[in-house]
Amino acid sequence: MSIEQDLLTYIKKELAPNSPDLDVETNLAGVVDSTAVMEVVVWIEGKYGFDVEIDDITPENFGTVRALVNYIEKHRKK
Amino acid sequence: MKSPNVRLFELLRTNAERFPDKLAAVFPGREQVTFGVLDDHSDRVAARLRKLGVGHGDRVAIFHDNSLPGLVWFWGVQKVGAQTIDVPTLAGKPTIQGVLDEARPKAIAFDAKQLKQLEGDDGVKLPPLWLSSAEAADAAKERGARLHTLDEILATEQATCDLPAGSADDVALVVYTSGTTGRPNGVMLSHTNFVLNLQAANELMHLGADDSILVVVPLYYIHGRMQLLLHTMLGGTLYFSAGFQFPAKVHAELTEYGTTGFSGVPYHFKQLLDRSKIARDPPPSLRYVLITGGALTSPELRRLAEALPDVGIHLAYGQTEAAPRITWIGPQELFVKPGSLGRALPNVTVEILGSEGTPVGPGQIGEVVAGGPNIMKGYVSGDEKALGKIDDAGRLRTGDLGYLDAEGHLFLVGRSSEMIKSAGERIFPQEVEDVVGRHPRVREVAVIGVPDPTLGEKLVAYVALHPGPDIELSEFRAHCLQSLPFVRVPKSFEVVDELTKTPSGKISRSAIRKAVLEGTPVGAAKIAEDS
Repeated sequence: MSIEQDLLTYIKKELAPNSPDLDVETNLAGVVDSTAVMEVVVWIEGKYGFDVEIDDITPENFGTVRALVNYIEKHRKK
Repeated sequence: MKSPNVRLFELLRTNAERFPDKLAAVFPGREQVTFGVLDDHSDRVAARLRKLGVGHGDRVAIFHDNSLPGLVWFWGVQKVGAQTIDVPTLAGKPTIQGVLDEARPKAIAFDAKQLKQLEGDDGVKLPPLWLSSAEAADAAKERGARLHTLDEILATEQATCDLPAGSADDVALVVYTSGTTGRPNGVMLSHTNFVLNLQAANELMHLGADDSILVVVPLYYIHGRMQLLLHTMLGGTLYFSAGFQFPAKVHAELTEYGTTGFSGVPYHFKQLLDRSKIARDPPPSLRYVLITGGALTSPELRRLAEALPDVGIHLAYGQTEAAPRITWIGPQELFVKPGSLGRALPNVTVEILGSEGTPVGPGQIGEVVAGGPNIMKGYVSGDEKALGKIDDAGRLRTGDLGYLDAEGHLFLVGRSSEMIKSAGERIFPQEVEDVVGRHPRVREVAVIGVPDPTLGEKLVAYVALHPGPDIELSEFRAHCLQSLPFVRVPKSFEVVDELTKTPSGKISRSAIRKAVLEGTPVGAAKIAEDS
């Protein structure tokens, strides 16, 4: 499965099952609250094997699924 | 102390005259408003409300996240002598419906984008008068509501400075909180309650018109309203944060906006310390922080002081029913008196009552009781005495256990409120129990907060089940996520045979919490592990 699919599946199942319309461009601000962001960080670190830097947890990197995909791809290649 | 005969809207009027062009509030995305424009726009809203027959003694619900329209509606309602009712937008529908049914507002102000949270098969029945935007037009038509939009009001109404009927002793606003009774209580606070509490708090903190604050809490919590009212009184600017989802962003906001102040609950400070680089780059303009809603541990407090060496750390203790401050401790004493929540505010008395109901001496533990002009008018239900929250002497029985030292410093040893404070949110256990209880396998449920190093308190649901096949506990979590935002979903579910009850047969959250903290079985039944 692609990173995009993985993320959508994870968020819809574990964090926001009442947001069936969630897509790659949905603003996650209304979907994922501050405690859920922490879970996303832990999930990314476990699944993609890199440490998420504090300064990287920003709306620019975590604001949408598309932003998250770009962020993960950039860091996985390192 | 100044005369208490001031109503809240007068705080805005005064500073609109003093500083018409000064920024009153700045929102994420840089939408902003001056004191002069905020005063003018809320005057126009007041003019419309008067025509609609909304006035002294009426109530208007405010269902808004932090936003400019929410602010304009709030002040407009205040200016007709009506009471605002702060409705937490994150609460579940049954809680919202309970608030509206009890408080019976004549109108509701809401962001049309939030309407979907109120709709559906279990939709919330709203008052017939809507204050919103044009996006709510279709829904208003469907539901037969009368919609008044802010754009249209601002375009057609004239700003007048009419004085509403009533006095400073009237109820200004209602905030819902949870005590030990299961259902939320609507705390009625008067103009005088707030004004005298704000003045007393500021006699200690010495803030002025040059101060500004980054607001990270919603205005529908007393902590948020307090920041709004304080800065309206001072003529200081409020900068609203985009939210605590991203602590690194909050750090950047503090630096970018150059606010002089920041107020948060322990969770917010821990997040800033752990998940931002605030210690490496302290915001240069920040000169004070205020911790409310609980204390940081001594090591955490030291860490904060080391991270922000040029910033004064203040700590306040209070309850919504006390509008809200009771005690305060400032930077001079914070490290001299570790664990202290400070001394009573200048016009507040704090006593410790022993089991006989009489005051006990220094060092002796008892119930913390507060008196003064900041103590609430009562609950909307009128149950404040029946619930034992206000005693015959008019004092507030906080339900918290603590002691005073010989110098009058308050130390808490236990908290009685069942309001769960998790990740900076205030959560009514009942709203979560209502959702868990709708799962067909759940026979009875109690939701409690247990201490958690990151969240402050973690939501745990204790459930007793109807007979049936084995069930994955994760199913309960998925069920809750259908109706509740993530932060309000229990982090774990524990299955027990029976929940502890009071002699009258009601589920006792306090007994369950006590058993959990002491490591004894809940409801004298086995506790299953979370899957």
